Amino acid sequence: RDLAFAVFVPAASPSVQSIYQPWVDWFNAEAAADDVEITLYAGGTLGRNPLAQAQMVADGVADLALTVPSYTPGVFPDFDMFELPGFANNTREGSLAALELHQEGLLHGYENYYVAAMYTSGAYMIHTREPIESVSNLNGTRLRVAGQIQTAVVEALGGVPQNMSAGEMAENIDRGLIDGAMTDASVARTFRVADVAPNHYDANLGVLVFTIVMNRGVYDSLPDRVKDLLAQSGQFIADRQIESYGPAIETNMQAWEADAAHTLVIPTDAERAEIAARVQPVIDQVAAAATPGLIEAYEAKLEDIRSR
Amino acid sequence: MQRIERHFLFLTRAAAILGVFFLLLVAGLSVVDILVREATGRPIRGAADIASLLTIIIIAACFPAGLLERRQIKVTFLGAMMPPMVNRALEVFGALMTALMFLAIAYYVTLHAQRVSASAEYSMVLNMPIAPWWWVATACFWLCVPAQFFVTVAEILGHPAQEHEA
Amino acid sequence: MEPYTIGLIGMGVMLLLILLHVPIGVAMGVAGVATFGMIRGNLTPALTLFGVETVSKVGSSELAVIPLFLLMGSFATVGGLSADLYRIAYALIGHIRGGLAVATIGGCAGFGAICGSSVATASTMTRIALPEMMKRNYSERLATGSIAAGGTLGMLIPPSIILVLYGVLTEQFVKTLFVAALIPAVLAVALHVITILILVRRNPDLASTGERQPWSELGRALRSGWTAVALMIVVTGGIYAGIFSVNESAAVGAFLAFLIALFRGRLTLKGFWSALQETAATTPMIYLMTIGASIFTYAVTISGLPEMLVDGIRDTGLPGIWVVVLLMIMYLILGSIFETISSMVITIPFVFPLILSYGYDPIWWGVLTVMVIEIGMITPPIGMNVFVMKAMLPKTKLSTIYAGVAPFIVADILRLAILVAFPALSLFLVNMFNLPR
Ligand code: NA
Ligand code: NA
Repeated sequence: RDLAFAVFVPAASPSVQSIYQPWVDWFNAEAAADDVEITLYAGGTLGRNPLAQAQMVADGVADLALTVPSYTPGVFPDFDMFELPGFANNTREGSLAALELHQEGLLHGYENYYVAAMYTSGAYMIHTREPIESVSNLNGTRLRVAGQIQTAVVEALGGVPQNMSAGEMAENIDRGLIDGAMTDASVARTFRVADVAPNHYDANLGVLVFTIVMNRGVYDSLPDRVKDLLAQSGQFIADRQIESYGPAIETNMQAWEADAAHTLVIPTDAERAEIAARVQPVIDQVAAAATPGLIEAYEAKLEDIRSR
Repeated sequence: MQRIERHFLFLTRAAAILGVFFLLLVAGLSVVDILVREATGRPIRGAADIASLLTIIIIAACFPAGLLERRQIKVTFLGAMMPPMVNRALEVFGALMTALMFLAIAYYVTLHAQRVSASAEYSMVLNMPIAPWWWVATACFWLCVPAQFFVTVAEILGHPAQEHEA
Repeated sequence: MEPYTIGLIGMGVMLLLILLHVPIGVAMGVAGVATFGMIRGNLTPALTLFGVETVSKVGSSELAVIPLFLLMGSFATVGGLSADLYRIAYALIGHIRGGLAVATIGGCAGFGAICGSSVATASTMTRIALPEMMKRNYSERLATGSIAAGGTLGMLIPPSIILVLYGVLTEQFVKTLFVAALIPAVLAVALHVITILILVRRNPDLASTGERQPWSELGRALRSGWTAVALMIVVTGGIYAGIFSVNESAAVGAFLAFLIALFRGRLTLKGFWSALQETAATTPMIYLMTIGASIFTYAVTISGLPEMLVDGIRDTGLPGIWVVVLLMIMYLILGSIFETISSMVITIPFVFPLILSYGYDPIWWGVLTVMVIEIGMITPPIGMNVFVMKAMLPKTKLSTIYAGVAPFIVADILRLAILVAFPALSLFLVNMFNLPR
């Protein structure tokens, strides 16, 4: 049985190299006895549109696919909270919280699928040409954002959100079309944002959730031992993400701190309170759309993860 | 038959020209957006949202007339070498396959519109629902089906494509 | 049956459908869905591809630049901008032997910078430049040949619709492709001009010399045609200088072309409608091709044929450069029988992975592909530019035009060889501006 796994990011990207391919190799080795095999189609060869990936799995075009819930605003309201400032501090907190909340059945929206994995990026930061010393410097700053919640957050902080593809960010900052971008420290490096926007404001502004979903009918038809492997996959993938992505972010941050050409600003507690106050309307809006009590459960989960 | 085709052509062309007229508006909006951005440092809030939603109906609106104009890119040298009857049969076959594909497209675009309605998907900045735009696009694609069946019937009757007149 | 066997049959079915007068986009879509369904053992999911890909393409902002560039070209034609550019080129170099033909190339290049299509460039220059050349005793061969060949510059010089399609189908940045095409396009213009100069030197009867135009004529030409030059500078310069994104440049270009046509009083209501209608008729044609090509790509991917092809060719131990040369020859043959855009969209699912597997640069390859395919616009038996000109010139023999373009085809193939040998010509500006890849 050959399962088609569609991944819209390029085959050469770090997540394919250090997460999906190792996972597929592990899975195929373990599931060989049951004659089940996953074939990875990276780089969008099986569907280029990131927004269509989940639907393609529901339709049976692919059996598994990488999806990003925030790419389709309004469809997965339970996942908006991950993009809120002041919650998950890093890849580990975000990934474990998302995975465990899902495993506990608290996150809704993917009922028609089997969710094989769920993990997050690192915390969003603001990377700008001109230094951002405090949140008031953000007033009128044009920042590249991706998605509805980032848009709302940047507006709440006084900035001007602009949508564009990730590949265009660095060039547009360089040419002065925008002043900076809101991404985590790894994306900032991969897409060369840090080269043109050497001032980094690390205010813990939210994380991006990724899910790997499987067609429900396909899942139900698999032998129990393979289902068991899939049940372990969430942890397998989250661990790989935490092991590879987390340190990459740490390395970048240390390099920026050591480099005289870069500034790294970590806001004070008073500053964080100011940010929290400004984004409170966004938080209220997200809370109103999400399953009741979910945000509280998320906060409790983060406390729990930090205490481990 | 030809009279009906002319009316139909008029209707679909009107839709297409309206679509491209919106395209011109989008272009104008983009120019205003750039000017405002240069003058004030801030782009117009949500201009990109509106442009991308309008694009959906602009493109979809062009399809029915495009089909009726019969300007698809195809290779016709086989028919040119064959007797006229065979050529006509080939043209009918090509038109019929196109009609079937657009039947499928219209059906699946309808499913998409239903899904974005049900899931309440929104645009990024202005939080506008995107479903209505997809319903307009759906209507355009359904208009393609009779349009292409008309073309098929016209090919069966051996009517050539109507000359374009603006 | 093995997936690759089904894939091969699917390829055959697609080609058969194309042969049976099915529009190319439809043939690729239908064959793609059937093949995908057979390989996956279930037709129902495969059918949804009609929806997935239509929705993705109709909603794509990258593809949306195509109707905008088409609209700009339509308004530029209606507004008489090509005539202005030709007049300026003429005032500059019209007096030398063969100068009108050189001015035609110059006019084509200028118009190419505000129009994305080859056929539009060739047909508009046929209306403007051909009567001038015939009036001054140019040979019909040189006159028609230089217009047909110059017309290909419309597609080559950014903005180029086919480069946009390549970018969308292979996920490359359109802007980077545009910048990469700049030096090769300049090379194309230079080689076309050199071809004309060699031709008239060897056979002075081909063309007459004109009178040297007074500088005041250049001034007049510039005064009446400065808007055309300005549009050219805003559209392409805006992209290169990084003031606009490609989408913005297309939008600004379309709107400015509209304003220019309007304020010149050239835009009658009829002209306005026909410009809109021209765009409306061409847009779905290109979208349908893209939708079909994308659907077919699913079938090709899942069949495993590209990997087989890549492995098979690599196993022969053939050096990469020979693979490139063989692909170029394949495209020349395809380009001579197929319509240009189709030969690119049909082959990309196989050729692109092959090129990447040899470690070649996808941007460089994109420029090469467009260049080689563009040659197909003027080669027999099916050369779109030549056909369009023939349709406009009922008294001219098809063979005359083909004979006229022959020397330019030689120049084009020489240019291709230069670009294969020196990838830096395509990649120099991209690296200099540090553009996204
Ligand atoms: Na062009
Ligand atoms: Na040809």
